[in-house]
Parts: sequence; structure tokens; C-alpha cells
Amino acid sequence: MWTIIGHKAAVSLLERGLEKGTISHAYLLVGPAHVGKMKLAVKLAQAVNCESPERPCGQCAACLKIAEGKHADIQVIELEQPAENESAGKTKISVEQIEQILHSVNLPPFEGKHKVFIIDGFENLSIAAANRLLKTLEEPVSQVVFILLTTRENLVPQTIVSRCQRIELAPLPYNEIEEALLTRWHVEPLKARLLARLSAGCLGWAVNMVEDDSLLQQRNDWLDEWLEVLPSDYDKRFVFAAKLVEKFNQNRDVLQQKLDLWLNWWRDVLLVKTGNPETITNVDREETLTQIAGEYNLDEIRAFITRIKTASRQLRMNANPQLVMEVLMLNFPENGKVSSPVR
Amino acid sequence: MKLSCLQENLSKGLSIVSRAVATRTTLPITNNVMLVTDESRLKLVATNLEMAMSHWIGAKVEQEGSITVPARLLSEFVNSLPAGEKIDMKLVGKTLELKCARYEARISGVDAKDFPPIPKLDEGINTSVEIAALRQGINQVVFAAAADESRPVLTGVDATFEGSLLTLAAADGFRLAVYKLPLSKAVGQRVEVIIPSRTLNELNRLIGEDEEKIEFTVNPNKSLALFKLKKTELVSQLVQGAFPKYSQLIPQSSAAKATVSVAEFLRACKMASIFARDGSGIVRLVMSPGKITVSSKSEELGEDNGELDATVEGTEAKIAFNGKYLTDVLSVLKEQQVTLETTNPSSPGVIRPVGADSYIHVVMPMFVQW
Repeated sequence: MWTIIGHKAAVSLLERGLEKGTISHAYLLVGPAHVGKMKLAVKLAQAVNCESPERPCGQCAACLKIAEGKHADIQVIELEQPAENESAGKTKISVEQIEQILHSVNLPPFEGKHKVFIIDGFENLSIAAANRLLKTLEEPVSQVVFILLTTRENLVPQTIVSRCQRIELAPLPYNEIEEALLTRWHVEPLKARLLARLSAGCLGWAVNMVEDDSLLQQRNDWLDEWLEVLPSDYDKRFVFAAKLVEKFNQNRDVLQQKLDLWLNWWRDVLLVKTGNPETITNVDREETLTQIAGEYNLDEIRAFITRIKTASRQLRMNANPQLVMEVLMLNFPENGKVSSPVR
Repeated sequence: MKLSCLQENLSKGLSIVSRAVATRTTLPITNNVMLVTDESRLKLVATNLEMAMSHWIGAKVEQEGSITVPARLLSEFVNSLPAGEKIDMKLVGKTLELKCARYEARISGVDAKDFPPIPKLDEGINTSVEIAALRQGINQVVFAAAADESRPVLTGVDATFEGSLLTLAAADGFRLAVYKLPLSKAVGQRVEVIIPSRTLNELNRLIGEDEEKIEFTVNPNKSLALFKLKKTELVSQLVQGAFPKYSQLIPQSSAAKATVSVAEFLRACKMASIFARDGSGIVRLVMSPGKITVSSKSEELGEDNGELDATVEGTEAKIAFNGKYLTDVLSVLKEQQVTLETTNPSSPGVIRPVGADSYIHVVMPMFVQW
């Protein structure tokens, strides 16, 4: 019982491997955040250690221990959390973390049948750390399975990719997510429809939203902020830009997420404008979308989408965040009015 | 669980098993020590998933039970209690209550069923060795094992059991140490396993004054070894893989053979190493009739030159070694005298203590311009 929603190709590949005893020594799971990489990795760890004939059963002692994260032979390696006296967290998985597992690779499993090392966020490995793994991945040790998870495959060294079996986990179709939310998590239909579309095919994200209401509230707040700024004048927009970049240095992700949200909004505006309202993401705000779509012409909408994408790219390339956001504020669609603040 | 035991016994037991408590781990429960009642004794267990140590202490058990508690916390508390006092322990829910003299503590624990299962070795190859010989073997061999993980099998010590002989060997690619010791109980078949260096170091530390023999068991699929002492058991995982065939690396003949005093030789090598620090540790030896010259030089700092009395047989010879490898081996020898055999500047040097044929040490030379 894999109990994985979607990812049929990946699951059947692993099932065949289990049946024929051809489980690879290393897998690279590629897919967007929250798509189900860790879920699949843990299932695979259960499968290779499961004691019952139908693997993974999810019922035996080994499966239960793995699910609780208490199995001695399953190790999850990820970015170390910052210690209390450190302000910023580590940005890389260090050589030391890798060396520790290299030592344990050569010892037999402690209680199970296979040792499984799950490295979450492989793109965070420093080059030196990745290189330390090469020899181990090249000369596989029996009874050891490496599962490397990454959201950004282009940052994983080619030398690593070529030593692993690569499995791509694509985003799920939103109707599959909607159905899963309805049947398994018993979410009310309207919310399920919205979350399925907002999740961009990542079930884990939608489930997080179901379990934590504040996240959906946060999305609403963020969207309201943007919408409030949209018709306002430059002064207000610049105040808003300053507010956006305030905590940029502590956490870069928040601003990126806010931009993604805004980008998504304008994608919907474009869809409504071109007469495809059935494919929009923000289904709960269709009215506002229609209203905004009516206010701007197609060229403006398209141009603004490009600008949001540019801002997002520039932030990733370490441009000055304040400048990037201010430029974006200047470039808001102007609804036929004069577009320059300098008169 | 309800029992009482003596402070010094518990404190000693905890200090023994805490050597096996995990330091950096992905499994938090391995930071704990498990307390289990075992008939009229208390068993303390710790593991870092590479080895597991169990130690038994005498206790008056009133009620059976088990719990795991943070190892550091418990041992720090127990160590601070007045010596010679009785400690009463009682498990209430998942909290361990300790009472000793007028001190009391409550420690929150984790259920013992979550503790990694300690492997059991009931069958397999079983033998035993004398403590003194094993100690010497560990001291003279383990330091030669590789410290880095690039060749995993070399990080351990190769142990070959054959007839009534145990051969311990360690190598790191530049040196090889081989020690032979007798088994108290002959084994039926030849068995070769690789024991992690750390296990042997811990074992060395474990061996108390009152021990005479150590019982040794390897499981049939050679993944685990059990070392059994009077009150302590150490189960260790074994390194998987094949150890290089080292017997062919030991030169069978030599062109020059020098016999020197270990202490003198060690002193000269240590001195030469001071100057050799800058220049990749190169220490040069020149063997000529009646003496060995030990020298080293650094282009910028200067040089040193030492002469020792030696009985040199064969031709004159020149050879250079990394000074660290010489001082490492010379400092673990117990004998008064040692022989150094060489053939030419590019073949390995062989060091044997005089009067004991149980130990051989082979060091690769360094290539230098003379």
C-alpha cells in the first residue's frame, strides 16, 4: 500500500523495482516544493525495510517506526537549523554532515534490512559536500539506498545526477487534488476547489493550508495588500515597497512568495480578459478579477506580468531589493493615465 | 520499576556506557541511556547505532521495569551525589524519581520500547583472548588505521581468527601494523572481519583491572561482533568489505638490517621531526657500520643531525620516511630494542621489536633527492 496520491509512474517504477529486486542504490527525486517528494522517499524507505510480503504494508513494526521517524537505519539529512545564538541559519549542507553519513554507510543496517539516507534539499549541498558523496554513489554498498530530494535540479552537480536514477514528480492535476481534499481530508467543496487551484499541483501545500487556517488567512491578507495599493498614488506605493523589503534580509522567501501571489493574480486577470474564466486560480475572487480585467487593456496586463517576472528574477540575482520593488511600483498599470511620476 | 543501588556503582556504570551514547545524531533517543531491571541487577544500555554497550550493576529490585532518560543529565546528577549513599529509583509514568540521602530528582524519560533494539548474538564463532595480549595488540595496531573515510575498509582493524591464533592488522596506505596473539580457545574455521577502530579503542578503555579474559563472538553473516567482559558487553557493527591482502606487502628479505635502542631511536626521530615539520615531515636515515644517522632539514629554518649506535648488518643504506610514522610506531613498543630492515630507498622499511616475533610494522619510504 503506497497510499500516494498521484505520481503513478514513479510509484509503479518503484513497485517493479521491489518485485524484481532491482531497487537502485540512489534515487534523485525532482519536483516542486510540497509535491510529495519526502512522502515518496519515506514510503520507499518503508518498502525496503518492510517485513510483510506486500511492501510497504504501513502496519508492521518497521513501517510504523519509520513513519514516526524513530527507525535507526533511516537518516534524514537537511539544512541544520540555526542554533539559538545564531541570527541567520546555515545556507548550505556542510561537508561535516556528509562525512558523518559516509562513516555509517559502510556499517551494516542496525535493525532493518536497508539503510536509507534521505537528503532533503540536495541543491543546498556545498560543492565540496556533493563531491564527497561521488565515490559512495559510484561504488554502491549493498543494503544502502540514497534518496536525494531537490526542487531545483539545475543546481545539482551533473556528476551527482548521472550517478542516480532520476524520478520526476510532476505537479498533480488540480482535479486530483480537489478530489483528495474532499475524500481524504473532508474539506468543504468551495475551499477544496480554491486550495486545489492555489496549490499549483502540490498536494502537500494544500494539506498544510487545510491543517493551518492562518496560512489561507495570510494569503488573503497579502492579496488585499496588493489590491489596496493598486489604485493608490505613488506615495502610498513607495511606503508599501519599503514595507515589503523591510525583512528581506532575514527571510528572502516571503517577498518571493508575495510576488508569486501577485503574478498569479495577474495571470488570472489575463485569463478573464481573454475570456477563459474557467481556468483561473483565485476562484474565490472572480468578481474582483472581472472588475480589474475591465479596467485595463490587454497590452497593459501583459506588460505588467512581464514586469513582475522581471522583478522576481532580479531579486533572485541579488539586485538591491528596495530598488527592484520601487521600479515595480512605478511600473504598475496606469489605466490610461500618465505613467510617469515626473510631470 | 522500583529499585535501589549504590551511588558509586551507578556512577561507574554510567561513565562506562556513556562512551557509547551518541553525540550528534538524527535519532534523539540515542542520546538517552536505557535502564532495565534484569533479575537482581540493573542493566544500563547505550548505543550510537555503531556500537552498543550494556553494563550490569548490582541492585535491589522491588519491581521490574524499564525506561530511557537523557544520559548526560543522569550521569551529571548521579556523579554529584554523595559517594557511598544508596540511591532509590522509582518510575512514575514516564518520570524517573531518584532519591539519595536528602536529595531528590525527577527526570522525564522516553519509553524504552522506542530505544533501538540491541542486537543479540547467540550463535556464531566464539572464542576468547587474554586481556594483556589484546591490550598490547590494540595499542600497537589501531593507530595505523586510516582516519579518513575515502577507503572505508582501512578505517577498521582487520582481525583474522585461524586455529588458535588471532591476527590484528591495520593499514592506511602508507604503513601497515600486524600483531599476532594467541586465542585461549581455538576456532573451528578461519574467520576474517574488520572491526571499527573506534570499537577497539573503546574496548581498550573498558578493560578494567580485574578482568582476565574477554569473550569474543562474531555472528554468522559477519555483520556484528560481541565482546563480553565480566559486567559489560559491547556489541559492535563490523565494517563490510574486503581488507587488502597485506601479507604480500611485507618484504621477505632485506639488504640492510640495523638494530637500535627504541628509546634512542625515538628521541632522534622526534628531534628530526621538529625540523621536518616544514618539509612534509621528511626524516632521512643513513645506515653505516656501527651507526645510524637521523637527519632532517628545512630550507628556511635549518637542519639537524643525530647519530645513534647501531648494529648494522649488510650494505650501507639510505632511506627517508615521514617522521610521524616512525615516532608513532616507536612510541608504542615496549621492547628495549628494535630492528629496521631496508632494501633500497624506494622499497618499504620493516620495523620489528627485538625478542618478540608477534609484531611487524611496515612503513613506506619517501622519495627524496640525496
